Order: sequence, then C-alpha cells, then structure tokens
Amino acid sequence: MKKRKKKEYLSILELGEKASRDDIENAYSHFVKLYSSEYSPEIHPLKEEIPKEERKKILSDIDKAYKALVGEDGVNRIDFSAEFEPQEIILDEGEGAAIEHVKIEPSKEVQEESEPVVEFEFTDETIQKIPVDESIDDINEKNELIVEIPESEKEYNEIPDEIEHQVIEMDEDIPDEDEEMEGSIEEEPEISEPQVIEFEEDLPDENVDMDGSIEEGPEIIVQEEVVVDKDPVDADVEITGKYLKKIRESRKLKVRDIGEILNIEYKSIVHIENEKFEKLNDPGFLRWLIKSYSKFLGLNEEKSAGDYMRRYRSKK
Amino acid sequence: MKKEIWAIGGGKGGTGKSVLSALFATHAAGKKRKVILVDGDLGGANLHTFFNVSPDQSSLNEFFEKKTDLKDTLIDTGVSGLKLISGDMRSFNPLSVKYIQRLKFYRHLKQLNADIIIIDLGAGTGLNTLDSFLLADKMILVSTPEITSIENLYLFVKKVIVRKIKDMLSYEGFRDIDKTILKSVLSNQETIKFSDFIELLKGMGKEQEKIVTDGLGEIQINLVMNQIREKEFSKYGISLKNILKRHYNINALFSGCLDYNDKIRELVNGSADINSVFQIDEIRPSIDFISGNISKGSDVNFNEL
Ligand SMILES: Nc1ncnc2c1ncn2[C@@H]1O[C@H](COP(=O)(O)OP(=O)(O)OP(=O)(O)O)[C@@H](O)[C@H]1O
Ligand SMILES: [Mg+2]
Repeated sequence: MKKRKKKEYLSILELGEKASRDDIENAYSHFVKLYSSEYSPEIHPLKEEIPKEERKKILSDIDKAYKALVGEDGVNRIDFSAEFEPQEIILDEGEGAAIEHVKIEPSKEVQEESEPVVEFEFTDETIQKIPVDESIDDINEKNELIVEIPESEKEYNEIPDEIEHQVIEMDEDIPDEDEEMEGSIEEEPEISEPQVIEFEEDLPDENVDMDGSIEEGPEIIVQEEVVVDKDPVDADVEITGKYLKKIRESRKLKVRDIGEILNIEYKSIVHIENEKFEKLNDPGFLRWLIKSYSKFLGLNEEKSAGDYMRRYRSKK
Repeated sequence: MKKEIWAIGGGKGGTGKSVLSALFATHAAGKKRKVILVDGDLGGANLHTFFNVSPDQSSLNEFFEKKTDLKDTLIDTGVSGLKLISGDMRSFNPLSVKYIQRLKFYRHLKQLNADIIIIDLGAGTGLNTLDSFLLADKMILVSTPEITSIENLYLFVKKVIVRKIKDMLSYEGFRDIDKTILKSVLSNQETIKFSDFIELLKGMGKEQEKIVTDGLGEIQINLVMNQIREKEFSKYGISLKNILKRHYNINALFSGCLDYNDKIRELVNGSADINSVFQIDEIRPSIDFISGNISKGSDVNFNEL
C-alpha cells in the first residue's frame, strides 16, 4: 500500500501512523459500535441529524479502511444490513492467533424496533424537502424601523460624550411562556441581540470587522438608552414575581438576555416571574437568584429576597 | 512567539471550563510566558477564587468609565507571570453591557502586553460568547462524558458554525437567508436538519457555496474531555472529534483528557489554590500534554490513548 493511502485509511479510523494491528482492531470495533446504534451517548443527541442511512454510509467507509489496512483475510464479517440484529465481529488476530469473538449487543430499545432492515446502499442522499412552518409570523418584521446611519456618525467623530453609547436594538417580543418552556425557538442571532455601536474617537481599525455587522444591517432600530433608576422601590410595595416582570418589561429587557448576562437559565426567570414555585425547588438557590435578578433590575436585593421568599414559603 | 488568544467554552455549565482555563494559564506561566487570564464569564466570575484573590471591581469600573487603562485592572495572582482580569460587569447598564462594553473590552485586551491570553467564556451560547470564541486563535471546547454535556457541545458547535457562515455570507452581501429556517436550525427541535441547512445555503449559488465551504474550513475546534472517571470514557474524545469532522465538516482535534480528581473540588471552595492543584502528579502531566497539543495543533489518536 502506498504510504499516503495508508495514512488516509488510518485517519479514517482516527489512528496515527504508528498504529499497531491491535490499535486498528480496537479502533475498528469502537467505530462499529459507535455508529451501529443510535443509543451510543455520543450519537444519541444527534440521532435525528445522523439518520440510519448516513450511519451506514459511515460504517462502510470505516469498513473499507479497515479491510484495506488488515487485508482481505481480516475480512469484515459484519453484515451491516442486519444492523438491528446482535452482531458478531470476528477479529482475526493473524496467523496462529486465537480468533476472538466480540459480540455487540444492541440495546433493548433497538431490539424492540420492528423496523424493516434497510439494504446497504451507497447512493448519495438526496436533500430532503425542508418543512417550513409558514404560520410563524416574523414578529420582528412588524416592529422594525429603518434607520440610516449618517455618514458623519460612521466616522466616529463629533459625537458628544453623553451619547457616546448609542444603543441600537432590534426589537423583539419576549417569547410567550410556552415558547420559553420548550426553549426551542431561538431567535435568529442578529435580531436577538441588542446591538450597540460605540462611538469612540480612538477606535482602532482592527475592530471594524466586529462593528461591521451593525453597519451592514439593513434594518435597525434606534432606541433611547433606558435609564435605570437607582432604587425605585417604595418600601411598602411587596416584591412579587409580577412586580419583577413589570419592572423588567418597563426596561425593555428580555429574559433571554438577562439569563445570558447573569449566566443563569432564563427559564428560572420565567418561573420566578410567574411564581411557578413548584419548579423552584431549592430555596437557597432561589434566594440567590432573586437577589441577583433584583440587583440587576436596580431593586433593593435584600428587600426583594425577603418579600419573595416569604411568599414562596407561604404558598409552598 | 506570536501573541495567542485561547478561548474556552463548551455551552454547559460546570464542565470544568474555569478549572481548565486556570490550569492552562498556570502551565503557560510556568513556561515563562506572560499570561493574562480573563474571566470572560462577566456575570458569574469565579476564577479569582482559584487564586485566593479578590476581583478588582473598582478599577474595572474605572476602565469602563474611561478613567483608567485596561492594564490597570490586571490583578496579581501570586503565580509569577500570570495576571488576572476579573470583575462583575452586572453593575453596568444592562442594555449596553452586553455589546459595547465587551467590544471595548476585547479590543483593549488584544493590545495588552502578553504572550498568551486565555479567556474563560463561561457557560451559554450567547452571541458574545460565540463571537469571542470565533475571534480566538485557539477555540477550545470542554465536555465531560455526560450526555447533556455532549449535547450542549453539539449545540455550541452548531451555533458557532451558523454564526460564522451567516456573518461571512452577509459580509459578501448575501443576506437573504430565510429567518424561519434560521430559527428552526438553531432550535433544539429542528424541523430542518443541520446538513440540509448547509446544503440549502450552498445551493443558493456558486459563490455562496464557496463561502460556506471556506467558513467551515476556518473553524478548528480543540476538544478537551474533563472529569474522566474511567479510561473507557476518554474514547469519547475520539468519537466526538470524528463526529464533528464527519457531520459538521469542520476541523476537530482531540487535545486530551483530564481525569476526575477530588483535589480539584477543593479549588472551588477555596481550600486549595491553583498552583498546589497544578503540581499534583496526576494533573500536571495531563495539563502539559493537553496544552502542548493545543499549542502545536497536534491531537490524540486512537493508538495514543
Ligand atoms: N477534573 C475534575 N475533577 C474533579 N472535579 C472537577 C474537575 N473539573 C472540574 N471539576 C469541578 O466541577 C465543578 C465545575 O468546574 P468549573 O467551575 O471549572 O466549571 P465551569 O465549566 O467553569 O462552570 P461554569 O459554566 O458554571 O462557569 C467545580 O466544582 C470543579 O471543582
Ligand atoms: Mg466557569
């Protein structure tokens, strides 16, 4: 075998040039196991993304490399078409060596599947038709306002110090609760992020690329920077989930963004605001959450935690 | 040697991003390199506890108020050659903290005098995290063998790719990517498969196809497996790199594993400091190995496990 070709085959099995016969066998059975079942932990999260047909293609690739490396006598005796049957791999250890039988048991769930055995084919996958949910309104479209950035501003000059930070934000509705719970609909990056251009005299060139995405955005909203009051809480207002939500909404903040900034699950914020106490099981952690969240909102954290935890204890 | 930025992410919380960042930094400092370690987890900073120092809140505030240079916010760590930037950025105006301040921060960061800058990105897949990750010379992802951690790693990679390609396409004037499809591909319950999404982008035209291919080619992930309790689990690193290459068509390197070690737990509550942990016989060689692989761009193959 040509050296280059050999290297190629080895790399298919994730092997370096110094791989021994044993290494080849080990790698081979590792990958056969990996791609044979959708229940291996490394594959499982992608089981929809890497369907059976694709795994079969990968297996054939691996099989080809293996055969090429060990020669036809190390012949693959796996019948890939019988993917959902227990498989017996016979690894030939070479002349005189005892033949080793490795049995790969598919997990129970797999055996229960009564899927027809798909013939092992090499055909290219045809691109699937993409289902698009036409009914999803693009909420952003409605709220967008076209703003041209004047040339002068692009040059970062003559901007008075007070408006040094100009917040340009694509408005976006806070997803409703169901959506939040599923956590499934992630906004398209460019819109989900409040975009801010900093006008600074000493802006070095190398950052133009980072800022570039803002300037090139076709539609942007200019929004006044929200002034956060130091502590707007009346001593006699009880801090409830609803109150926190009201404050948040008045500041045009999104749970998702807050979650990211505070590095907490945004779902917890939704639960806190809706007082879904049954989902908030750890009072110690909850107290910490309330404190961070209310501090972030500019509220008195001790009072917020005190009020909220009192309600939590009485309702729970 | 050229100044290098390493960014450490991984999506899921608690995988060991901070521990590894601190250990890489300690290792580099030991090699007489000037190191700046950045707690990029600017909401939940905890790196300072590993060094038994306090975050320097006031000078970081001053930096953002333009009263001082970023270099004045560097905190001595007790490890020679290793400085830390850490502080809580939550006290800044929440609307602008995310973008401007980080932007300014990273811009100034790159100008600091250092041989290597290591950024602990914290958990999550927010845009700032993805952008910082893409800006780095070494993109490092940490996972444990747990399935949730692996799942988060895939999600992180997917978002990194979409962010990168979408940016590149729109830079070239191709902005007409269907928002519904984008939403769908980034959600957890995809109605469109990632591979179909990529095909769809490529199908938009010859130029677009080239941009997508180039974009994928520019992403190189260094995988680190952490909290390995049995040798068997280190093979996950091989599996993940193979899957990233095959399924996502990006470059992936498996840089090595760090075993589970009780002593590391003590870092977090402050009863051990990073240097004493780094000196542990089971830890130092692993970090040396992983760091070396990342620096050299080499990786661990099946026969080297
Ligand atoms: N190799 C290891 N052995 C034992 N414990 C570990 C190991 N690596 C990390 N840990 C522990 O796991 C926990 C999380 O580690 P660390 O803080 O580094 O994670 P992280 O990824 O930075 O988390 P976050 O996303 O919350 O910032 C800590 O308690 C740490 O001590
Ligand atoms: Mg951390």
